[in-house]
Amino acid sequence: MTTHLPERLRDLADEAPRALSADGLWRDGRRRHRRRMTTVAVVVGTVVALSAGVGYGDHRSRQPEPVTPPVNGARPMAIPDPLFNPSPWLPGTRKPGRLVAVFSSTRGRFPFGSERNAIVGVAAGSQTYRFLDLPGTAPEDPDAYLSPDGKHIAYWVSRRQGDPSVVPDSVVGVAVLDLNTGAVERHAVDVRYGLTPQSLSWADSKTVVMVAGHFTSSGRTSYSGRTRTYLAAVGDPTTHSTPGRGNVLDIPVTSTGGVAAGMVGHRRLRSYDAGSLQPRPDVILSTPVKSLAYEPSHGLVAGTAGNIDASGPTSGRLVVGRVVEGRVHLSQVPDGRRYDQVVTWVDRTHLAPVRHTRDGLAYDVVDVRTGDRRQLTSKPWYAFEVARDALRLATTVPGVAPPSPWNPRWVALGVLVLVGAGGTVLLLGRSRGRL
Amino acid sequence: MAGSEHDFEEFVAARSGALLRTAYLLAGSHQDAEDLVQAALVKAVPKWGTVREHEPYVRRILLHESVSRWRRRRWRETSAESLPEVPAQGLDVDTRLALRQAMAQLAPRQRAVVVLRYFDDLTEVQTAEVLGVSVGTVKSQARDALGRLRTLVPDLDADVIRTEP
Repeated sequence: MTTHLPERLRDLADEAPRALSADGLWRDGRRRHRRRMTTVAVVVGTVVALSAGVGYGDHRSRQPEPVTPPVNGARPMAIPDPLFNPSPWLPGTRKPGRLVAVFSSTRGRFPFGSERNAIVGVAAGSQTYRFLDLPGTAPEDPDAYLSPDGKHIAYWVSRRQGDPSVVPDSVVGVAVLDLNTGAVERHAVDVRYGLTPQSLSWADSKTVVMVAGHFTSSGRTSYSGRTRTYLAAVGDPTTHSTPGRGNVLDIPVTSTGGVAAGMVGHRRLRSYDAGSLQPRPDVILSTPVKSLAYEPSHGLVAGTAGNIDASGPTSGRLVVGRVVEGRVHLSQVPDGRRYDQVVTWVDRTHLAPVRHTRDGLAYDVVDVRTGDRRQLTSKPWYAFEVARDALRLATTVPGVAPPSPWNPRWVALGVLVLVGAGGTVLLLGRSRGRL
Repeated sequence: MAGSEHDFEEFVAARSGALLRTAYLLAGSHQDAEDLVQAALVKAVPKWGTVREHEPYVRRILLHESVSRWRRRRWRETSAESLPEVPAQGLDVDTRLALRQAMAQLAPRQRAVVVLRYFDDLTEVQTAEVLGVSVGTVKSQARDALGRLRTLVPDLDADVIRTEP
Protein backbone atom coordinates (compact mmCIF):
# COMPACT_ATOMS: atom_id res chain seq x y z
CA MET A 1 0.00 0.00 0.00
CA THR A 2 1.28 3.47 -0.78
CA THR A 3 0.08 6.65 0.90
CA HIS A 4 0.92 10.33 1.01
CA LEU A 5 3.47 11.48 3.54
CA PRO A 6 1.19 14.20 5.03
CA GLU A 7 -1.57 11.61 5.51
CA ARG A 8 0.88 9.25 7.21
CA LEU A 9 2.20 11.98 9.46
CA ARG A 10 -1.33 12.91 10.52
CA ASP A 11 -2.09 9.28 11.21
CA LEU A 12 1.10 8.89 13.27
CA ALA A 13 0.32 12.07 15.20
CA ASP A 14 -2.98 10.51 16.27
CA GLU A 15 -0.91 8.39 18.66
CA ALA A 16 0.13 11.54 20.56
CA PRO A 17 -1.15 12.23 24.08
CA ARG A 18 -4.42 14.17 23.95
CA ALA A 19 -3.78 17.06 26.36
CA LEU A 20 -1.45 18.42 28.98
CA SER A 21 -2.24 19.85 32.39
CA ALA A 22 -1.13 23.42 33.03
CA ASP A 23 -0.64 22.69 36.74
CA GLY A 24 2.59 24.22 38.00
CA LEU A 25 3.91 25.22 34.57
CA TRP A 26 3.49 28.96 35.17
CA ARG A 27 5.17 28.72 38.59
CA ASP A 28 8.02 26.63 37.12
CA GLY A 29 8.47 29.19 34.35
CA ARG A 30 8.72 32.11 36.77
CA ARG A 31 11.09 30.17 39.04
CA ARG A 32 13.25 29.21 36.07
CA HIS A 33 13.40 32.83 34.96
CA ARG A 34 14.52 34.03 38.42
CA ARG A 35 17.13 31.28 38.61
CA ARG A 36 18.38 32.19 35.17
CA MET A 37 18.73 35.86 36.05
CA THR A 38 20.69 34.95 39.19
CA THR A 39 22.93 32.61 37.19
CA VAL A 40 23.57 35.29 34.60
CA ALA A 41 24.61 37.74 37.33
CA VAL A 42 26.99 35.19 38.88
CA VAL A 43 28.40 34.22 35.50
CA VAL A 44 28.99 37.84 34.49
CA GLY A 45 30.91 38.41 37.73
CA THR A 46 32.94 35.27 37.18
CA VAL A 47 33.69 36.21 33.59
CA VAL A 48 34.97 39.61 34.65
CA ALA A 49 37.20 37.98 37.27
CA LEU A 50 38.50 35.42 34.82
CA SER A 51 38.81 37.68 31.81
CA ALA A 52 42.54 37.20 31.60
CA GLY A 53 42.31 33.42 31.68
CA VAL A 54 39.30 33.31 29.38
CA GLY A 55 41.01 35.62 26.93
CA TYR A 56 43.89 33.23 26.80
CA GLY A 57 41.60 30.25 26.21
CA ASP A 58 39.65 32.13 23.55
CA HIS A 59 42.87 33.08 21.82
CA ARG A 60 43.93 29.44 21.82
CA SER A 61 40.59 28.16 20.48
CA ARG A 62 40.56 30.69 17.63
CA GLN A 63 44.19 30.36 16.74
CA PRO A 64 44.41 28.64 13.39
CA GLU A 65 46.57 25.59 13.17
CA PRO A 66 49.70 25.93 11.11
CA VAL A 67 48.74 26.16 7.46
CA THR A 68 48.66 22.79 5.78
CA PRO A 69 51.06 22.86 2.88
CA PRO A 70 48.96 22.78 -0.26
CA VAL A 71 48.97 19.51 -2.09
CA ASN A 72 51.01 19.80 -5.22
CA GLY A 73 48.69 20.30 -8.17
CA ALA A 74 50.26 17.37 -9.97
CA ARG A 75 49.71 14.96 -7.09
CA PRO A 76 46.47 13.02 -7.18
CA MET A 77 43.81 13.87 -4.59
CA ALA A 78 42.87 10.67 -2.80
CA ILE A 79 39.45 10.49 -1.13
CA PRO A 80 39.42 9.40 2.53
CA ASP A 81 36.97 6.59 3.19
CA PRO A 82 35.10 7.02 5.45
CA LEU A 83 34.71 10.66 6.40
CA PHE A 84 33.71 11.56 9.97
CA ASN A 85 31.50 14.06 11.79
CA PRO A 86 34.04 16.04 13.84
CA SER A 87 34.02 17.57 17.32
CA PRO A 88 32.32 21.00 17.60
CA TRP A 89 35.55 22.31 19.10
CA LEU A 90 37.87 21.90 16.13
CA PRO A 91 39.88 25.06 15.36
CA GLY A 92 38.80 27.33 12.53
CA THR A 93 40.86 28.69 9.68
CA ARG A 94 40.62 30.57 6.38
CA LYS A 95 43.70 28.87 4.96
CA PRO A 96 43.26 25.10 5.23
CA GLY A 97 45.07 24.43 1.95
CA ARG A 98 43.54 22.36 -0.82
CA LEU A 99 40.42 20.48 0.28
CA VAL A 100 39.11 17.10 -0.80
CA ALA A 101 35.68 17.36 0.88
CA VAL A 102 33.42 19.83 2.67
CA PHE A 103 30.23 19.46 4.71
CA SER A 104 28.10 21.21 7.29
CA SER A 105 28.51 20.41 11.00
CA THR A 106 27.72 22.00 14.36
CA ARG A 107 30.37 24.31 15.81
CA GLY A 108 30.65 25.29 19.47
CA ARG A 109 31.12 28.88 20.61
CA PHE A 110 33.49 29.86 23.39
CA PRO A 111 33.01 31.00 26.10
CA PHE A 112 29.21 31.16 25.74
CA GLY A 113 26.55 30.74 23.06
CA SER A 114 24.74 27.81 21.53
CA GLU A 115 26.14 25.64 18.77
CA ARG A 116 25.53 26.74 15.19
CA ASN A 117 26.08 25.25 11.78
CA ALA A 118 29.40 25.84 10.07
CA ILE A 119 31.34 24.39 7.16
CA VAL A 120 34.06 21.81 7.77
CA GLY A 121 36.83 21.23 5.23
CA VAL A 122 38.94 18.08 4.96
CA ALA A 123 42.44 18.84 3.67
CA ALA A 124 43.67 16.82 0.71
CA GLY A 125 46.64 14.68 1.64
CA SER A 126 46.83 15.35 5.40
CA GLN A 127 43.09 14.64 6.08
CA THR A 128 43.09 17.52 8.58
CA TYR A 129 39.55 18.56 9.56
CA ARG A 130 39.03 22.29 10.17
CA PHE A 131 36.05 24.63 10.41
CA LEU A 132 36.22 27.22 7.63
CA ASP A 133 35.91 30.84 8.73
CA LEU A 134 33.80 32.25 5.90
CA PRO A 135 33.44 36.04 6.28
CA GLY A 136 30.04 37.50 5.43
CA THR A 137 28.17 34.21 5.18
CA ALA A 138 24.62 33.79 6.48
CA PRO A 139 25.41 33.27 10.19
CA GLU A 140 22.87 30.55 11.01
CA ASP A 141 23.26 28.21 8.10
CA PRO A 142 26.06 28.63 5.66
CA ASP A 143 26.13 26.51 2.54
CA ALA A 144 29.42 26.34 0.67
CA TYR A 145 30.48 24.72 -2.59
CA LEU A 146 33.95 23.40 -3.36
CA SER A 147 35.62 24.09 -6.70
CA PRO A 148 36.45 20.98 -8.75
CA ASP A 149 40.18 21.33 -7.97
CA GLY A 150 39.52 21.89 -4.23
CA LYS A 151 41.40 25.22 -4.18
CA HIS A 152 38.45 27.61 -3.75
CA ILE A 153 35.12 27.56 -2.00
CA ALA A 154 32.09 29.64 -2.98
CA TYR A 155 29.24 30.65 -0.70
CA TRP A 156 26.27 33.00 -0.69
CA VAL A 157 26.75 36.27 1.14
CA SER A 158 23.87 37.80 3.01
CA ARG A 159 22.55 41.35 2.84
CA ARG A 160 24.36 44.31 4.29
CA GLN A 161 23.32 44.87 7.89
CA GLY A 162 21.03 47.86 8.32
CA ASP A 163 19.93 48.02 4.69
CA PRO A 164 16.12 48.17 5.00
CA SER A 165 15.42 47.85 1.28
CA VAL A 166 16.81 44.31 1.10
CA VAL A 167 14.54 41.42 2.12
CA PRO A 168 15.70 39.87 5.41
CA ASP A 169 17.54 36.54 4.97
CA SER A 170 18.00 37.19 1.26
CA VAL A 171 21.43 37.09 -0.36
CA VAL A 172 23.17 39.71 -2.48
CA GLY A 173 25.85 37.70 -4.25
CA VAL A 174 28.61 35.18 -3.65
CA ALA A 175 32.05 35.22 -2.12
CA VAL A 176 34.94 33.00 -3.16
CA LEU A 177 37.59 32.07 -0.61
CA ASP A 178 41.06 31.11 -1.80
CA LEU A 179 41.85 28.16 0.46
CA ASN A 180 45.62 28.60 0.16
CA THR A 181 45.90 32.35 0.81
CA GLY A 182 42.70 33.07 2.77
CA ALA A 183 41.84 35.91 0.36
CA VAL A 184 38.12 36.52 -0.21
CA GLU A 185 36.63 37.82 -3.46
CA ARG A 186 33.08 39.18 -3.44
CA HIS A 187 30.89 38.99 -6.51
CA ALA A 188 27.79 41.12 -5.96
CA VAL A 189 24.65 40.86 -8.07
CA ASP A 190 23.10 44.21 -8.92
CA VAL A 191 19.60 43.76 -7.46
CA ARG A 192 17.55 46.13 -5.37
CA TYR A 193 15.71 43.83 -2.96
CA GLY A 194 17.97 40.81 -2.72
CA LEU A 195 17.94 37.30 -4.10
CA THR A 196 16.62 33.98 -2.91
CA PRO A 197 19.31 31.42 -3.68
CA GLN A 198 18.44 28.33 -5.69
CA SER A 199 21.73 26.71 -6.62
CA LEU A 200 25.45 27.40 -6.66
CA SER A 201 27.91 25.31 -8.63
CA TRP A 202 31.19 25.45 -10.54
CA ALA A 203 31.38 25.23 -14.36
CA ASP A 204 35.13 24.66 -14.01
CA SER A 205 37.71 25.44 -11.34
CA LYS A 206 37.57 29.17 -12.14
CA THR A 207 33.88 29.84 -12.85
CA VAL A 208 31.02 29.99 -10.36
CA VAL A 209 27.44 29.52 -11.61
CA MET A 210 24.68 31.10 -9.51
CA VAL A 211 20.98 30.50 -10.02
CA ALA A 212 18.76 32.75 -7.93
CA GLY A 213 15.27 34.21 -7.82
CA HIS A 214 14.39 37.88 -7.38
CA PHE A 215 12.29 39.73 -4.88
CA THR A 216 10.18 42.49 -6.39
CA SER A 217 9.81 44.56 -3.21
CA SER A 218 11.23 44.59 0.30
CA GLY A 219 8.62 42.08 1.61
CA ARG A 220 9.39 38.39 2.04
CA THR A 221 6.30 37.44 0.04
CA SER A 222 7.39 39.39 -3.02
CA TYR A 223 9.43 36.52 -4.46
CA SER A 224 8.79 36.62 -8.21
CA GLY A 225 9.21 32.89 -8.79
CA ARG A 226 11.52 33.68 -11.73
CA THR A 227 15.17 32.69 -11.66
CA ARG A 228 18.22 33.97 -13.50
CA THR A 229 21.65 32.49 -14.02
CA TYR A 230 24.78 34.51 -13.17
CA LEU A 231 28.41 33.72 -13.79
CA ALA A 232 31.44 34.94 -11.87
CA ALA A 233 35.09 34.17 -12.62
CA VAL A 234 37.79 33.84 -9.96
CA GLY A 235 40.03 36.89 -10.20
CA ASP A 236 37.35 39.07 -11.85
CA PRO A 237 34.93 40.85 -9.48
CA THR A 238 32.37 41.43 -12.25
CA THR A 239 29.25 39.28 -12.14
CA HIS A 240 27.68 38.49 -15.50
CA SER A 241 24.03 37.75 -16.10
CA THR A 242 23.29 35.19 -18.79
CA PRO A 243 20.64 36.05 -21.37
CA GLY A 244 17.34 35.29 -19.59
CA ARG A 245 15.69 32.52 -21.54
CA GLY A 246 13.43 30.36 -19.40
CA ASN A 247 13.20 29.56 -15.72
CA VAL A 248 15.94 27.25 -14.46
CA LEU A 249 14.40 24.42 -12.42
CA ASP A 250 15.64 23.39 -8.99
CA ILE A 251 17.39 20.29 -10.30
CA PRO A 252 21.06 19.58 -9.50
CA VAL A 253 23.07 19.91 -12.72
CA THR A 254 26.85 19.71 -13.01
CA SER A 255 28.89 20.43 -16.07
CA THR A 256 32.55 20.57 -17.03
CA GLY A 257 34.85 22.33 -19.47
CA GLY A 258 33.73 25.89 -18.71
CA VAL A 259 30.11 25.25 -19.62
CA ALA A 260 27.35 26.48 -17.30
CA ALA A 261 24.25 24.29 -17.52
CA GLY A 262 20.76 24.04 -16.07
CA MET A 263 17.40 22.44 -16.79
CA VAL A 264 14.75 24.85 -18.10
CA GLY A 265 12.12 22.21 -18.71
CA HIS A 266 11.73 18.68 -17.49
CA ARG A 267 13.60 17.43 -20.52
CA ARG A 268 15.46 20.49 -21.81
CA LEU A 269 19.12 21.13 -20.92
CA ARG A 270 20.24 24.72 -21.48
CA SER A 271 23.91 25.70 -21.38
CA TYR A 272 26.21 28.68 -21.87
CA ASP A 273 29.84 29.07 -22.66
CA ALA A 274 31.15 30.56 -19.41
CA GLY A 275 33.85 32.61 -21.11
CA SER A 276 31.78 34.31 -23.83
CA LEU A 277 28.33 34.00 -22.15
CA GLN A 278 27.08 32.78 -25.50
CA PRO A 279 24.21 30.29 -25.34
CA ARG A 280 24.94 26.81 -26.67
CA PRO A 281 22.29 24.76 -28.47
CA ASP A 282 19.69 23.23 -26.15
CA VAL A 283 19.77 19.47 -25.62
CA ILE A 284 16.45 17.59 -25.50
CA LEU A 285 16.39 14.49 -23.27
CA SER A 286 14.29 11.42 -24.05
CA THR A 287 13.47 10.98 -20.34
CA PRO A 288 12.93 13.50 -17.53
CA VAL A 289 15.71 13.50 -14.94
CA LYS A 290 16.01 14.52 -11.29
CA SER A 291 19.72 15.31 -11.47
CA LEU A 292 22.11 15.57 -14.37
CA ALA A 293 25.85 15.48 -15.17
CA TYR A 294 26.91 16.93 -18.51
CA GLU A 295 30.26 16.31 -20.22
CA PRO A 296 30.02 18.69 -23.20
CA SER A 297 33.42 17.87 -24.71
CA HIS A 298 32.24 14.31 -25.47
CA GLY A 299 28.50 15.04 -25.57
CA LEU A 300 27.84 12.74 -22.63
CA VAL A 301 24.73 13.11 -20.47
CA ALA A 302 23.91 11.13 -17.32
CA GLY A 303 21.01 11.52 -14.93
CA THR A 304 18.82 9.97 -12.29
CA ALA A 305 15.54 9.17 -14.00
CA GLY A 306 12.05 9.85 -12.72
CA ASN A 307 9.25 12.38 -12.59
CA ILE A 308 10.31 15.88 -11.79
CA ASP A 309 9.25 17.15 -8.38
CA ALA A 310 11.10 20.30 -7.39
CA SER A 311 10.88 19.71 -3.64
CA GLY A 312 10.60 15.94 -3.56
CA PRO A 313 13.21 13.23 -3.26
CA THR A 314 15.68 13.11 -6.07
CA SER A 315 16.52 9.41 -6.05
CA GLY A 316 16.17 7.50 -9.28
CA ARG A 317 17.89 4.98 -11.49
CA LEU A 318 20.96 5.96 -13.51
CA VAL A 319 20.41 6.73 -17.18
CA VAL A 320 23.08 7.71 -19.72
CA GLY A 321 23.30 8.76 -23.35
CA ARG A 322 25.26 10.72 -25.95
CA VAL A 323 24.07 13.93 -27.62
CA VAL A 324 23.30 13.51 -31.32
CA GLU A 325 22.02 16.54 -33.22
CA GLY A 326 20.67 18.24 -30.12
CA ARG A 327 18.93 15.17 -28.75
CA VAL A 328 19.98 12.44 -26.38
CA HIS A 329 18.36 9.05 -25.89
CA LEU A 330 18.87 8.04 -22.28
CA SER A 331 19.22 4.32 -21.47
CA GLN A 332 19.18 2.77 -18.03
CA VAL A 333 22.50 1.59 -16.58
CA PRO A 334 22.40 -2.18 -15.82
CA ASP A 335 23.08 -1.54 -12.10
CA GLY A 336 19.39 -0.80 -11.40
CA ARG A 337 20.23 0.73 -8.00
CA ARG A 338 18.61 4.03 -6.98
CA TYR A 339 20.81 7.08 -6.51
CA ASP A 340 20.06 10.52 -5.11
CA GLN A 341 22.19 12.45 -7.56
CA VAL A 342 24.65 11.84 -10.34
CA VAL A 343 27.59 14.11 -9.53
CA THR A 344 30.05 13.86 -12.41
CA TRP A 345 31.45 11.76 -15.20
CA VAL A 346 34.68 10.09 -14.02
CA ASP A 347 35.67 9.18 -17.59
CA ARG A 348 33.74 8.22 -20.71
CA THR A 349 32.45 4.98 -19.16
CA HIS A 350 32.23 5.69 -15.43
CA LEU A 351 29.99 7.90 -13.31
CA ALA A 352 30.22 9.14 -9.74
CA PRO A 353 26.71 9.18 -8.20
CA VAL A 354 25.73 9.61 -4.55
CA ARG A 355 23.17 7.52 -2.65
CA HIS A 356 21.61 7.29 0.78
CA THR A 357 22.78 4.55 3.12
CA ARG A 358 21.13 3.50 6.40
CA ASP A 359 22.98 6.18 8.32
CA GLY A 360 24.17 8.74 5.79
CA LEU A 361 25.41 9.15 2.25
CA ALA A 362 27.93 7.33 0.06
CA TYR A 363 29.66 8.18 -3.22
CA ASP A 364 30.17 5.32 -5.70
CA VAL A 365 31.92 4.95 -9.01
CA VAL A 366 29.73 3.02 -11.48
CA ASP A 367 30.66 1.45 -14.81
CA VAL A 368 27.81 2.50 -17.13
CA ARG A 369 28.37 -0.50 -19.44
CA THR A 370 28.15 -3.26 -16.81
CA GLY A 371 26.66 -1.59 -13.75
CA ASP A 372 29.65 -2.69 -11.66
CA ARG A 373 30.11 -0.31 -8.77
CA ARG A 374 32.67 0.47 -6.10
CA GLN A 375 32.10 2.66 -3.06
CA LEU A 376 34.47 5.62 -2.92
CA THR A 377 33.56 7.07 0.46
CA SER A 378 30.74 7.54 2.94
CA LYS A 379 29.84 9.72 5.90
CA PRO A 380 27.07 9.54 8.47
CA TRP A 381 24.27 12.08 8.42
CA TYR A 382 24.29 15.33 6.55
CA ALA A 383 25.20 15.65 2.91
CA PHE A 384 28.82 16.22 1.96
CA GLU A 385 30.59 17.32 -1.19
CA VAL A 386 33.73 15.76 -2.62
CA ALA A 387 35.97 17.74 -4.99
CA ARG A 388 35.03 16.68 -8.52
CA ASP A 389 38.68 16.30 -9.59
CA ALA A 390 39.11 13.80 -6.75
CA LEU A 391 36.00 11.91 -7.89
CA ARG A 392 37.39 11.76 -11.42
CA LEU A 393 40.60 10.19 -10.11
CA ALA A 394 38.52 7.77 -7.99
CA THR A 395 41.47 7.00 -5.70
CA THR A 396 40.73 6.32 -2.03
CA VAL A 397 42.77 6.10 1.15
CA PRO A 398 41.66 4.84 4.58
CA GLY A 399 39.94 7.67 6.43
CA VAL A 400 41.54 8.92 9.63
CA ALA A 401 39.19 10.18 12.35
CA PRO A 402 39.87 13.79 13.41
CA PRO A 403 41.01 14.44 16.98
CA SER A 404 38.42 15.36 19.61
CA PRO A 405 39.66 18.50 21.36
CA TRP A 406 38.51 19.05 24.94
CA ASN A 407 35.56 21.33 25.47
CA PRO A 408 37.31 24.66 26.29
CA ARG A 409 34.47 25.56 28.68
CA TRP A 410 35.42 22.62 30.88
CA VAL A 411 39.09 23.54 30.57
CA ALA A 412 38.32 27.09 31.70
CA LEU A 413 36.23 25.74 34.58
CA GLY A 414 39.07 23.41 35.58
CA VAL A 415 41.51 26.34 35.58
CA LEU A 416 39.05 28.31 37.76
CA VAL A 417 38.75 25.45 40.26
CA LEU A 418 42.54 25.00 40.40
CA VAL A 419 43.15 28.72 40.89
CA GLY A 420 40.46 28.83 43.59
CA ALA A 421 41.87 25.78 45.37
CA GLY A 422 45.43 27.14 45.14
CA GLY A 423 44.34 30.53 46.54
CA THR A 424 42.50 28.86 49.41
CA VAL A 425 45.53 26.74 50.33
CA LEU A 426 47.75 29.83 50.18
CA LEU A 427 45.43 31.85 52.42
CA LEU A 428 45.08 29.00 54.92
CA GLY A 429 48.88 28.55 55.00
CA ARG A 430 49.44 32.28 55.67
CA SER A 431 46.84 32.46 58.44
CA ARG A 432 48.38 29.42 60.17
CA GLY A 433 51.81 31.01 59.88
CA ARG A 434 50.55 34.09 61.74
CA LEU A 435 49.13 32.00 64.62
CA MET B 1 0.48 39.07 36.14
CA ALA B 2 -2.64 37.14 37.25
CA GLY B 3 -4.21 37.94 33.87
CA SER B 4 -1.18 36.57 32.05
CA GLU B 5 -1.29 33.41 34.13
CA HIS B 6 -4.98 32.97 33.33
CA ASP B 7 -4.26 33.52 29.60
CA PHE B 8 -1.44 31.01 29.81
CA GLU B 9 -3.63 28.36 31.43
CA GLU B 10 -6.35 28.93 28.85
CA PHE B 11 -3.79 28.59 26.08
CA VAL B 12 -2.48 25.30 27.51
CA ALA B 13 -6.01 23.92 27.82
CA ALA B 14 -6.89 24.90 24.25
CA ARG B 15 -3.68 24.22 22.33
CA SER B 16 -1.69 21.57 24.22
CA GLY B 17 -3.28 18.81 22.15
CA ALA B 18 -2.08 20.33 18.88
CA LEU B 19 1.37 21.03 20.33
CA LEU B 20 1.60 17.43 21.55
CA ARG B 21 0.85 16.10 18.06
CA THR B 22 3.75 18.08 16.60
CA ALA B 23 5.98 17.18 19.55
CA TYR B 24 5.16 13.50 19.14
CA LEU B 25 6.37 13.54 15.54
CA LEU B 26 9.55 15.32 16.62
CA ALA B 27 10.26 13.17 19.68
CA GLY B 28 8.80 9.75 18.83
CA SER B 29 7.42 8.83 22.27
CA HIS B 30 4.67 9.97 24.65
CA GLN B 31 7.04 10.83 27.45
CA ASP B 32 9.44 12.81 25.32
CA ALA B 33 6.57 14.62 23.59
CA GLU B 34 5.10 15.67 26.94
CA ASP B 35 8.53 16.70 28.24
CA LEU B 36 9.14 18.71 25.10
CA VAL B 37 5.84 20.60 25.27
CA GLN B 38 6.23 21.23 29.02
CA ALA B 39 9.75 22.55 28.51
CA ALA B 40 8.62 24.83 25.68
CA LEU B 41 5.73 26.20 27.75
CA VAL B 42 7.94 26.79 30.80
CA LYS B 43 10.46 28.64 28.62
CA ALA B 44 7.68 30.75 27.13
CA VAL B 45 6.47 32.02 30.52
CA PRO B 46 8.93 34.91 31.05
CA LYS B 47 7.90 36.64 27.80
CA TRP B 48 4.23 35.61 27.88
CA GLY B 49 3.00 39.13 28.59
CA THR B 50 5.06 40.75 25.83
CA VAL B 51 4.55 38.27 22.97
CA ARG B 52 1.57 38.99 20.73
CA GLU B 53 1.20 35.65 18.93
CA HIS B 54 1.61 32.96 21.55
CA GLU B 55 1.31 29.80 19.46
CA PRO B 56 4.02 30.61 16.87
CA TYR B 57 6.29 31.65 19.73
CA VAL B 58 5.75 28.40 21.65
CA ARG B 59 6.12 26.34 18.49
CA ARG B 60 9.43 28.02 17.69
CA ILE B 61 10.72 27.19 21.16
CA LEU B 62 9.41 23.65 20.76
CA LEU B 63 11.35 23.11 17.53
CA HIS B 64 14.59 24.58 18.83
CA GLU B 65 14.22 22.60 22.04
CA SER B 66 13.74 19.38 20.07
CA VAL B 67 16.99 19.96 18.17
CA SER B 68 19.05 20.98 21.20
CA ARG B 69 17.61 18.17 23.34
CA TRP B 70 18.52 15.68 20.72
CA ARG B 71 22.12 16.90 20.82
CA ARG B 72 22.19 16.35 24.58
CA ARG B 73 20.59 12.90 24.45
CA ARG B 74 21.57 11.26 21.20
CA TRP B 75 21.09 7.80 22.62
CA ARG B 76 17.35 8.39 22.84
CA GLU B 77 17.17 8.19 19.06
CA THR B 78 17.11 4.40 19.20
CA SER B 79 13.93 4.38 21.27
CA ALA B 80 11.65 4.02 18.26
CA GLU B 81 11.82 0.23 18.43
CA SER B 82 8.94 0.09 20.96
CA LEU B 83 5.36 -0.37 19.86
CA PRO B 84 2.86 2.50 19.81
CA GLU B 85 1.52 3.37 23.22
CA VAL B 86 -2.11 3.71 22.14
CA PRO B 87 -4.18 1.35 20.02
CA ALA B 88 -3.63 2.12 16.35
CA GLN B 89 -6.51 3.34 14.24
CA GLY B 90 -6.53 4.39 10.59
CA LEU B 91 -3.47 3.02 8.84
CA ASP B 92 -2.15 -0.30 10.16
CA VAL B 93 0.39 -0.65 12.97
CA ASP B 94 3.23 -1.76 10.70
CA THR B 95 2.77 1.31 8.53
CA ARG B 96 2.91 3.62 11.53
CA LEU B 97 5.83 1.80 13.09
CA ALA B 98 7.80 1.98 9.85
CA LEU B 99 7.31 5.74 9.59
CA ARG B 100 8.04 6.28 13.29
CA GLN B 101 11.31 4.34 13.02
CA ALA B 102 12.23 6.17 9.82
CA MET B 103 11.52 9.58 11.40
CA ALA B 104 13.72 8.59 14.36
CA GLN B 105 16.62 8.02 11.99
CA LEU B 106 16.47 11.52 10.51
CA ALA B 107 18.78 14.20 11.81
CA PRO B 108 16.88 16.52 14.16
CA ARG B 109 16.72 19.47 11.80
CA GLN B 110 15.67 17.22 8.92
CA ARG B 111 12.85 15.90 11.11
CA ALA B 112 11.82 19.44 11.99
CA VAL B 113 11.74 20.38 8.29
CA VAL B 114 9.58 17.33 7.46
CA VAL B 115 7.13 18.12 10.28
CA LEU B 116 6.84 21.79 9.36
CA ARG B 117 6.54 21.21 5.62
CA TYR B 118 4.38 18.11 5.45
CA PHE B 119 2.47 18.06 8.76
CA ASP B 120 2.07 21.74 9.62
CA ASP B 121 1.85 22.51 5.88
CA LEU B 122 4.19 25.53 5.97
CA THR B 123 5.84 26.85 2.82
CA GLU B 124 9.60 26.68 2.36
CA VAL B 125 9.90 30.38 3.21
CA GLN B 126 7.79 29.99 6.38
CA THR B 127 9.76 26.89 7.40
CA ALA B 128 13.02 28.76 6.91
CA GLU B 129 11.70 31.63 9.02
CA VAL B 130 10.60 29.36 11.89
CA LEU B 131 13.89 27.45 11.96
CA GLY B 132 16.03 30.54 11.42
CA VAL B 133 17.79 29.07 8.38
CA SER B 134 17.95 29.92 4.69
CA VAL B 135 15.40 28.70 2.13
CA GLY B 136 18.22 26.84 0.39
CA THR B 137 18.93 24.95 3.60
CA VAL B 138 15.25 24.02 3.96
CA LYS B 139 15.31 22.71 0.38
CA SER B 140 18.45 20.66 0.88
CA GLN B 141 17.32 19.32 4.28
CA ALA B 142 13.92 18.36 2.85
CA ARG B 143 15.56 16.67 -0.11
CA ASP B 144 17.91 14.70 2.15
CA ALA B 145 15.13 13.83 4.60
CA LEU B 146 12.70 12.66 1.92
CA GLY B 147 15.47 10.70 0.24
CA ARG B 148 16.17 8.87 3.46
CA LEU B 149 12.49 8.34 4.28
CA ARG B 150 12.05 6.86 0.87
CA THR B 151 14.97 4.48 1.46
CA LEU B 152 13.61 3.43 4.84
CA VAL B 153 9.91 3.28 3.90
CA PRO B 154 9.87 1.94 0.35
CA ASP B 155 6.12 2.39 -0.19
CA LEU B 156 6.53 6.16 0.20
CA ASP B 157 7.17 6.46 -3.49
CA ALA B 158 8.19 9.69 -5.21
CA ASP B 159 4.75 9.94 -6.75
CA VAL B 160 2.97 9.85 -3.42
CA ILE B 161 5.09 12.36 -1.52
CA ARG B 162 3.23 15.47 -2.56
CA THR B 163 4.98 18.77 -2.24
CA GLU B 164 4.03 22.31 -3.07
CA PRO B 165 4.46 23.32 -6.69
